[in-house]
Amino acid sequence: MIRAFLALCLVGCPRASPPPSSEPDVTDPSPEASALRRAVTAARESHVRAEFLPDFGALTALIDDLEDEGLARLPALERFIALEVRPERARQLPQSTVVGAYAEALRTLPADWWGMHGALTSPAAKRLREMPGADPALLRLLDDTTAIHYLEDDGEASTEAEDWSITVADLAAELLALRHDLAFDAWQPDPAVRTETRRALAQQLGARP
Amino acid sequence: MLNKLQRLFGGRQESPSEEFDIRSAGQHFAPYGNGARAEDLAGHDAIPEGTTTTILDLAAGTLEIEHGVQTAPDPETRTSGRYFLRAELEVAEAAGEGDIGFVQTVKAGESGGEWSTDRGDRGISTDERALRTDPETGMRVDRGNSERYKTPFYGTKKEDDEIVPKDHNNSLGSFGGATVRMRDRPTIPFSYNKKMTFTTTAMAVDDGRELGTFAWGFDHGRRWEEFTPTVLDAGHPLFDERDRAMDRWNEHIALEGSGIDPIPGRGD
Repeated sequence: MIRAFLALCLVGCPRASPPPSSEPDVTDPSPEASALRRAVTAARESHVRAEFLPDFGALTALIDDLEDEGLARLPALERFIALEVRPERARQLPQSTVVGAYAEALRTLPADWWGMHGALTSPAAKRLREMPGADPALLRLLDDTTAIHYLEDDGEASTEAEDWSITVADLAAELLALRHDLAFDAWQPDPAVRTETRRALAQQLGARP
Repeated sequence: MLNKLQRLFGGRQESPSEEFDIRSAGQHFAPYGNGARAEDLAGHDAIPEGTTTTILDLAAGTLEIEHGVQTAPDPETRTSGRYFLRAELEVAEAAGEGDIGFVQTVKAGESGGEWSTDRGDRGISTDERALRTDPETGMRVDRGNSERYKTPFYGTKKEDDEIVPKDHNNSLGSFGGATVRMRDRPTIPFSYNKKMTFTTTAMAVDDGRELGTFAWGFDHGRRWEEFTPTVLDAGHPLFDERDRAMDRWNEHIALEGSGIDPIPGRGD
């Protein structure tokens, strides 16, 4: 069954150009693919930590059965989920494959996956903060002005995100600042000020080799 | 209206047949993640958008509250909606001194089910939030991030040992002077049925003197039900839940050395 899943992945997810998004692949009916798709849906709609994903045990077993090649060829969000469930598998994958999964998750999943703007302390955020080779992907996201949203219930975080127009670019800037011990005030309510700070941050990091 | 409020908040009932006991509603409770999916919500009644203004008289002054659905959720486009509440209190009496703010508590859960009380329940993914939440009732002091703001007063932050508004949507008031204001826009998810209940207490920042409490919220089940903001009278069950959340803040969040202020006036 795992072999069949890998074969489908190899067909559906060519190595040279992994899919840009992780929209459900309805052509793959295997239980394994379905399980990962369900996990991605849960990550979008209801769950913000891997450990709380439905059927976490079965998901773990499924990922343990996947060979590195199959894992690397998963769509980006499925790959992110797999790496959050089994973080140690990242060591066996190409750097860009891991970074790409996390960048896609930062761009598209609820912001709770990273903590709260100004306090990106979740397990996923800590991994991204320390991830080798993540700078280019995060620098690209400095232009992504997609508004973030939270799933969690305390109204104040989501109220603030909307009132202050917090974006994916702000999360990326905060992560870059944390990675390089640079300044970025994610609690600055004025989006224009944050935009200027992001520009300065990009210049500082762009000048680095 | 009062009966509806009591029923939905779990308060005293006029008619036993309409009793709503959140602790006996567990048969409908789906643990975190097994709840309704967006597809399940597609056939729900449309939520009417728009806000209204409610005026409440407190002993200390007049409370003006604008409330309602700012944006309805849309399961078709998988877009969450927003509830809106803006409260302004002008404290008429000039007997007190110092600033006035709001301390808000909140509990949330799946409509028709139990309230979230523990880490891993829907809406409680972090240790900090779990620590802030009363395990019996699910009520917690509503702050986006206690470690950052370092004060329990909603919409404010502590800066150089002073409590100040964190943005222009919130402000501190004074006795016989400035109006205290707050704004909240909780999410109405597109992906599951959600219920939320809030208590909001106007309080003197210095000594914790209470100037009145109102409750509000919504239940986004098969039908949309808004809990129109209502003054809580002494003895209402939500007072006990609020107090448990406030005590929990003081005992588990405002720890010595954390720099986080306790809620004043609670025997600390």
